[in-house]
Amino acid sequence: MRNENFALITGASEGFGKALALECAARKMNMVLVALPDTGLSNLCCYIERNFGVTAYYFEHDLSKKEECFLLFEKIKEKNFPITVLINNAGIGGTHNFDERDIEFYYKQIGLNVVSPTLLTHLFLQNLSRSTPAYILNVSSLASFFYLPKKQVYGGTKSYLVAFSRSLRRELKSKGISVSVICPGGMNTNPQMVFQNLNITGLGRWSIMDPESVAKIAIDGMLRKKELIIPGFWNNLFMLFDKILPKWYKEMLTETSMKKSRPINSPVRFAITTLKPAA
Amino acid sequence: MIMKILITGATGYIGYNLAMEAARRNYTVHILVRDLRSSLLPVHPNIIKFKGDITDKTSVVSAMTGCEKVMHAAAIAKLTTKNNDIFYSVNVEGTRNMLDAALALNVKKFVFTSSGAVIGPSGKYPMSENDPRIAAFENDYEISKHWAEELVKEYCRRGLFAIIVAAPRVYGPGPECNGNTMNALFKSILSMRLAFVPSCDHVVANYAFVADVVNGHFLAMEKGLGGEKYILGGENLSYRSFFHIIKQQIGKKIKLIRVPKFLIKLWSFFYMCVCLVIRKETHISPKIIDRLAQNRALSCDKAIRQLGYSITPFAEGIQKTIAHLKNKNYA
Repeated sequence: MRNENFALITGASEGFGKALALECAARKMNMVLVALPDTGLSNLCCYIERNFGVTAYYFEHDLSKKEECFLLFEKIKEKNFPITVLINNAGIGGTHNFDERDIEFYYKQIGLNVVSPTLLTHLFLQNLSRSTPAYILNVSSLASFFYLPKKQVYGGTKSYLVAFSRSLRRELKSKGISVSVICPGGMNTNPQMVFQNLNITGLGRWSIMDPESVAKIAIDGMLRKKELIIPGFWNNLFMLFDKILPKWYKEMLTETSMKKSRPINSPVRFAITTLKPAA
Repeated sequence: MIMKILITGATGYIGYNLAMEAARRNYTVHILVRDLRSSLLPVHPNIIKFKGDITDKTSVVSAMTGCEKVMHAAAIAKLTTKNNDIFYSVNVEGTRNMLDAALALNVKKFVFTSSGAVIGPSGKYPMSENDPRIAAFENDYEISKHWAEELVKEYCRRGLFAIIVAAPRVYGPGPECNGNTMNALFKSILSMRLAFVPSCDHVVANYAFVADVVNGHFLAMEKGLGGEKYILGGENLSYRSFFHIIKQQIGKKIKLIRVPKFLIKLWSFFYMCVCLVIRKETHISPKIIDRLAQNRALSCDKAIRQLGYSITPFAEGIQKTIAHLKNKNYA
């Protein structure tokens, strides 16, 4: 029998979102992918349909804007796709001092990382409860547990997702909707990240994972209705250390590790100038 | 009228063949080389040498002046080096210098030689130009070539007529240089009675004959559309048929011993450690073995359809390669 259900994946054009889309496709799920315009979604959907024999639609929206979330909902309603999996993956990252970015940036970050998953969950709740079992997977980060400098707003938005997911899970259990949250550590998402990760030395480097392997763990965990998914041996070890090490020692570790993190210099310049759109 | 063309990377595997072919086609060929006395220089009356380096903008400009066409094949084409920043300074910034000069000097056609590594591993079907990359980027080489491609596209938007061509694993006659890893493999097979091959028979990759790749460059320059990318590959072969055809063509008895992947990875790990200790540069690492065990099938349909590209059958290509290597007394 052909699977008629759809997974809705946000931020699917690159990195972890793309890996999640490919993993869902490998498990024969149909999907609706969302990302910013001109980020290659049409090619990705073509590839997925041809290689996996599933249906893949895409919509190009900036989900950091409330209206566009509503627009997406209306479009999906119109098409009458039965959504049984909602993956809130779209997000804005970044490592910088608080005063380095203007307030517009933080509004956008909070809009995309906090408001949009809340809104989409709210909008699609009915759709999800119509054909259970249904699943919600929110993509948080290990930064929600470790209060690292230069990750103030980012870490905050990701902590929100953990609290939101774990609370909502208890509410929706009786409705047959399982809510999971995944907290990956460093990942080789886009070329810029891989470039930076290649320059990390020591323990940090061992903990870096490829999005493909994290996506597999994520979907496995989601389907097994796990509450909190921490992918990878090293990330789990960090969580264990967090529980058992004394506070002063952890402080010291965080401080030295952040000092070691490579500032944006030398070769990164190429990346940034390369990615700048043509004048 | 005689057309002038600048070819970079002329002491490298593809660039050497490009320069010789351009000279045969009666172009006046400018080559930009770091060492005017390199043993790898292509020699032909139509070839004019310019001393310089793509990372040095003035030398790029003086070599490009007067050229209507450019083929940019120079790159650090390995997977690891002692200092990986060089991938970015040569492959990205060097390409930027080339593009800048080409735009300023009103070059008519610019062909950029990229790599199948940017496309990455393949899924159920061979990958074509528009397919998304399905696995994370793995190393500085891949990223640098990807960024160079992005740069070329950016300059196309600024008005340069540039075409990207991507070559996978290339084999066939050519100079004995770094990028020529396939020939190094054949040489070692020719000299051995025993060869250890990984036991992943079913893994498929694409092997391009160098003459096809060179011909494809000229076809892309003639007929390619600006801003487009063309895969210039060869046959997609599983390791089983790859080694089977080689064995047939060599015509001498070689025992192929199939070794499980994990053993090869273990060996490569020790080999890498030994090389680290004795400070020898090596391409081998467990990660590269993983790479070699991934499907990397490519589709050349676009180049065949739009450029009239053609593929030499692998058996025929191997025959010519072995004849070339035997000529040079490797067997």
